[in-house]
Amino acid sequence: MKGKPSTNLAMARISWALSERSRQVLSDFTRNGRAQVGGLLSLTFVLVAVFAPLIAPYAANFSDFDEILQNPSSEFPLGTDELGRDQLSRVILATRVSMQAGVMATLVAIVVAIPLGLLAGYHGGWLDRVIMRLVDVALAFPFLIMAVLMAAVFGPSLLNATFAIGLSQVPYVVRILRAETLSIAQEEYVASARISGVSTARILSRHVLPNLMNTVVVQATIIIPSAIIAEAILSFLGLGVQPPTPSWGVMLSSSQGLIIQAPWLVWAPGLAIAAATISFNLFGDALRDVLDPKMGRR
Amino acid sequence: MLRFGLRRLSESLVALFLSSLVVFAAAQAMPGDAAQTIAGFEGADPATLQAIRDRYGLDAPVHVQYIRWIALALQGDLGNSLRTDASVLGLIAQTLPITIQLAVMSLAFATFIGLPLGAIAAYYRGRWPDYVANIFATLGLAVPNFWLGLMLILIVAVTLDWLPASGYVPPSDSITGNLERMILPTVVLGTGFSAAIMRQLRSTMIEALGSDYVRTARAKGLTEISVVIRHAMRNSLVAVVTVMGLQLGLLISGAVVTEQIFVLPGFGRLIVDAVFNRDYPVITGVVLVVASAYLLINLIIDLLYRVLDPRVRLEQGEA
Repeated sequence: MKGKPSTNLAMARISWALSERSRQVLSDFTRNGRAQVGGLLSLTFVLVAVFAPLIAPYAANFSDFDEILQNPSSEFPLGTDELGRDQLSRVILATRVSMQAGVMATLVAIVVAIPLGLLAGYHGGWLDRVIMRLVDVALAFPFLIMAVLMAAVFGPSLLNATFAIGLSQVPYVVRILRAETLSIAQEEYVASARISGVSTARILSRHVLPNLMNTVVVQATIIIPSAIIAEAILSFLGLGVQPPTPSWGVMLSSSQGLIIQAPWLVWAPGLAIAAATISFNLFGDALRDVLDPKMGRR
Repeated sequence: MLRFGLRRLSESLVALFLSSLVVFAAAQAMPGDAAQTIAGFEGADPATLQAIRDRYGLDAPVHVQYIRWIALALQGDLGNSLRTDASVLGLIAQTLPITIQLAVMSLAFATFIGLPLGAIAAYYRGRWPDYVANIFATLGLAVPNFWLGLMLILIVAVTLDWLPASGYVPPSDSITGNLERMILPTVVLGTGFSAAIMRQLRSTMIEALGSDYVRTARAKGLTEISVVIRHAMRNSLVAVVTVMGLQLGLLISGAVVTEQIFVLPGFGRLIVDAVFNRDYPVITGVVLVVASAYLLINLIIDLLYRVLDPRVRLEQGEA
């Protein structure tokens, strides 16, 4: 510990401790090798997604019918598909859909789960029982089954797939946030706030929620990579992104029928999914180590 | 125990009832006029449509329709496929064994790979076997299983020509033909689980290896292998079983994808095809069966815990 004269004002002490803590987190994080690699790779994927049209050598749906199913060459580094489209460009542009689904699904999961977890954990009683029963019901629909049901009702699209992915994560996040809220609610500062007549809404927003944020961030880092895979799976099955929009899952699904004539088409989209997932997993693992030392590596 | 069992059972029944409401609501929300769909796509005249509405009670209030639907479902009547007119229950009975075979083989494969890897990684923690096992687990969890499937088809089936690429042969026709075609799907579905099992066993075993009872076992002069397997590993298995229980949903989702890749006529293919064919009775029937099965299996797992692990009994008794 760096020496720091104790001040008389408790507030000053707390704010110092807080900033010390966040500085500590930041320096732990930047010194962690896995964090550096994971962070850098994840950032690369996000940047590729943002600047995809500038990076890709061809437009997503530019077809050259004289160049159908070409082997990889200097002109088309990853070859061309059945419509003469440049595979490299499509792999690059598909990053957009993937990152978008990963981030949006995570936001959906968290935005829905936070109020439910807070209420169940803090209010307790009948509200807790109702929410937890609903969580049980939601768990009875595995993610793909929920996605199938949503596709049947609302039609298959990226938006519906994103919601299905996000909603399927809600029960897990609610359970964790509820447990965390339960333990925070027993802290003395919450009790003293309650005694001094602070309203429930204010206790939740000022005292409980800020202390939940670490857990929320940790959960988000777990959801993002699985949402990326989930989007690819749904698009592969035809329940997500619809052609001709480039998506890794859609590209793999069309490459399956061409696996004998054009085996090169199978490689790139799959490697891209695996690389994106590993990057965000590394990043998340490292962030978890720093934010939540209790949890350690699982 | 009995009281807990009854409470848990009633909770499951409530969850089942709510799930059936969800499925029913989804069925109501599916696009298209039900009478029109039942009549088929040949333009039915209004009189026929009205006859269908009367016959199926489609004009009845929603709650009456729900009660009628659930009463039929409880008797095993989930309606008929709009495309083939086959009974939905019959279709499920026909496809489910294939999915169950795939799931059981995959779990066996995952255990066979995951347990030794996890034990070795824990024992050699921080040394090269641990790193190798961790790389395997990281890849196993990150590589999407459908891509693994395509790569295996490309390498094992197309290039090396060792195994058939896809399709299904019932075991009654040929056991070897059946197994030949199930090997690749098993590997595809099982790999992710073996990684999950490995990770879980590694972390609980590291804890166990540092515990007092393991030190005592060593001090007693037991052989190292007996300490590791009979003492450290055995006590870590409860956590592994928990993880496998939690992964049930993933197993179901994974089976849907795997069947799609390898053209296995299991229930996953049934439901995906039904979505594309807008075969709503099949969709709702399969979803209802999956949800019920899921709740039932979880109920069994919960009850088993209390039988297997006295500590759980205590914890829940206090709560």
